[in-house]
Amino acid sequence: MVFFLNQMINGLTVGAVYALVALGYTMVYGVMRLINFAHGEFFMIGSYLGYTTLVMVLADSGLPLWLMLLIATAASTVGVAILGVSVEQVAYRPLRKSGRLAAVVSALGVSQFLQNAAMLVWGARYQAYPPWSAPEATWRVASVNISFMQVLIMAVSLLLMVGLYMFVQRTTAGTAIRATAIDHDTARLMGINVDHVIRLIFIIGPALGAIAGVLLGLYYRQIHFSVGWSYGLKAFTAAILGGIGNIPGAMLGGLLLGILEMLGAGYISAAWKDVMVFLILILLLIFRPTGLLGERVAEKV
Amino acid sequence: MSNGHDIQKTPTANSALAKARTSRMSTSSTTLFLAILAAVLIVLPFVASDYWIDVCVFWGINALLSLSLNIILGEVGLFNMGHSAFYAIGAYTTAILSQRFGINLWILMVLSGLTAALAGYILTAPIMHLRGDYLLVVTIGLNEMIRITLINNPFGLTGGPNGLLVLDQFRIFGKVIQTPRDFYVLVWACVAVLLFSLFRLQRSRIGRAWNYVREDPVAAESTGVDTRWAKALAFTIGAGIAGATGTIYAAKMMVISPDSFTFAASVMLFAIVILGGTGSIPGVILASGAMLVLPEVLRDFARYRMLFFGLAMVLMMIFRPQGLWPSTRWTTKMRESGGK
Amino acid sequence: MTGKALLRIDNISKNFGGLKAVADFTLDVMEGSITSLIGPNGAGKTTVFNLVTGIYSPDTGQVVFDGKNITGIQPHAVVEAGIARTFQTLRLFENLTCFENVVSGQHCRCRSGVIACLLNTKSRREEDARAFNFAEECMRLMGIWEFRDELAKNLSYGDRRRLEIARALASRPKLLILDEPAGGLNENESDELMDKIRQIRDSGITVFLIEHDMHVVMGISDVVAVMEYGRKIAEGTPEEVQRNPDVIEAYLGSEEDEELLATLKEGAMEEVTQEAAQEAGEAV
Repeated sequence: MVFFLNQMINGLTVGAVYALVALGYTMVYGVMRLINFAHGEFFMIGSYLGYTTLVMVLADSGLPLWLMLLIATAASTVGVAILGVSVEQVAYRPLRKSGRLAAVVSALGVSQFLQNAAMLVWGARYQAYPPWSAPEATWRVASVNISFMQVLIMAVSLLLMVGLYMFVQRTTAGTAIRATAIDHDTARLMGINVDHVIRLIFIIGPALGAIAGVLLGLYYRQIHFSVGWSYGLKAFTAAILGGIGNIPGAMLGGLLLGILEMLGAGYISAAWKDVMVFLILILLLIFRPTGLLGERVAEKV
Repeated sequence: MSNGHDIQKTPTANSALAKARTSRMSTSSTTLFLAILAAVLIVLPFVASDYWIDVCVFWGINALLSLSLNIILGEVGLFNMGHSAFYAIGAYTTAILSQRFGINLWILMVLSGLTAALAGYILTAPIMHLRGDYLLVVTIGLNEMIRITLINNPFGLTGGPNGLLVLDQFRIFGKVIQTPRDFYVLVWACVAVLLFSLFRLQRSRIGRAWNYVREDPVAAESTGVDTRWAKALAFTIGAGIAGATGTIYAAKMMVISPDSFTFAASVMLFAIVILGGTGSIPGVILASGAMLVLPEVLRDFARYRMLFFGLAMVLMMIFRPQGLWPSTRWTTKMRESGGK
Repeated sequence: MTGKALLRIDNISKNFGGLKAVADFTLDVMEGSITSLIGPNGAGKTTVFNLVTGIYSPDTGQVVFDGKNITGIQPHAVVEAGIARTFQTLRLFENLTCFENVVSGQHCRCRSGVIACLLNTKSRREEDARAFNFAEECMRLMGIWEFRDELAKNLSYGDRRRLEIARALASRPKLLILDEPAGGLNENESDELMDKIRQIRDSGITVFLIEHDMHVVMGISDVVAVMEYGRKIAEGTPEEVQRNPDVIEAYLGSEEDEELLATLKEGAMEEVTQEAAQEAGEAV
């Protein structure tokens, strides 16, 4: 039972990270019908930017740790949001009128480019967040271990997800996003600037990814240029699991996938956990491509 | 003033003619390209060092793999991003059967091809109907699942992360295929056979059916093309060729490990087909060579190789989606010559 | 027209979510006839076509073609059975040549497999030659042979419509299904189209079409069936249907189809135009 609860907490922690990254996939897909393969790289670069800010800029600043972390996260978020907007401008905007597969190939190209750019900048080896950067406090509640970082990750993710949900449901900009997701042309007729909406999506999505990147870096300490790809693929699976294009779906899918993965690793086999994740993805796409919360839409011939 | 007028007028007046001319030129330019390629490849063993011959062996292996992916991605338009999985299945089939039963490599080449073809048929049957971008994701998943399986060493078959040794060699009329030059001849002979077969398929009802499915699956199905059959056939043939290539690779390298069959390898093959010009045989051969030869020529370039590929994929989609060497359409003028 | 039903649509229904797109629809298409299906927009006409050609499978009921039950079989098998179709919104292979487009229809009439194609056997070459000759015939019939080496996307709208019909004919159908063949054509072009459709019927192919252009429908149809809200509300000769009060009611109910109503009540229409002309004359 204790083991089960520990795995659940581990799962919720990783799942919260997946959920944050999945939101980026799902928002871009919802509005542009594009699988943004570069999104995992935003997450990875966010992690590296946070690391660089901490190690190169803030290490000897003498500021309190919470402030350093806040500044590093903010710097990383802003940097990645700028990157996201630029990628959209350069690699996706010119292809909006071409077929969706052209945009998918372009997205893959961006992903490869960013991955290798990160490798050239930060090196091919693992980099580690410095030991002082992550608070190590751990609590023991009824013989179940919960670390401060786990609580932090879950709390921050929950806050961001609720915030995003409110933003999309309650504000004018959010309504514009929802309208654009339904139909670009109609949205345009209603006076919505679709280009602005897409730009907004490419600020919010990468920003959430960057925050997730910093949190994950602090949690596992180690970061590598390939994490964007592996976490990206899992977050995408989470988005599909919840029903791609659906914001609460991405949150639910992320948490569920994290729990499934950790329980699978704990009770079945750690070496096979990624195979299980991909198997879930494939079975989902075959049997229920609309995910848990998605709606089935008949395709018009 | 009058000059400007002329300049404006000329291209529009001749555009129809120019179009007709380019289409005729590119069909004959395919023949010209193959003739030049053959000439270069025949002369090369007499002038080049072993080092360059070796580079060309890998070019040939790359060409076989890219051409096999070109059937799936180029001819039928199925976004297969996990092609190295089939290559891996072929190479591992060879290594396991060679190690355990000492089967002749020629026979293993056929067996590995058949195993990979069967895997291609079975694994893709449930996912074939998925839309382009979803298919891409699923094939990435398949690639990763197979790679992780190889690392995890199920039943002690695959040797885990270190892989397996292949100590047997190809023999032909008592001669052992060993040196770079031997492999050079073997690999490029295989490319020649494959090219010959591919041209025949391209010009047949099967090749046409593939193109119909690529252009519009719903329309293809509604004009009587069994799209499932066409897709399954492409996956089976493409996977089979990749599997057989795995045998050559295993014999050449003498050791195979999961590292050779990563997702990045699949991305490279994918990029080769897209950059070369989907469905275009000369384009794919050229691109598969450029990916190997350029890093050799420009040493500094090697580090930036994947960076460059990524950038090239984006730029090609924006400026030249048809690829470097677009495939040419079959015309009734070729009915007399090409159809027979 | 012989007395035999080539296609029997027997009590088919199709729901999309809560929407009953087609409800208990029954219709016999007689061999050698030209049968039209008309009705207001959204009445379910195209859905009926999609149910017959296997793009959807019906929730209930069955489709029998030439004595064989073809309910729910795949679209390519429907073509093989002898039903070819065109689409309301054209679906051509835009980046292939017109000839390649038309040859696609012959695919299901050929049998060469991988081995035959690789060995380039004599039977494969002869089969291709036959397929090419037949494709040529279909293109000449539709008057588009001159465009054989053009890419489909470069053709004018009317030529593209004819190309799609040629492609359908190339599969040697017994029944040709046309979804709004005159859509987007001008008066001359649609007159020409009517001639072609008659020519196709006279060559022994039964024609089943959806059309909004009442001039075309009333001009060529042997039988007209009318749909509203997924149901058949009338069936008969053009004259019978024109006089049917239910049909007039149906078209009155939908403002979108004022034009159709106007053509249905042709006499009344003429009066209106004359009045309008008089008024215009007086104004001048």
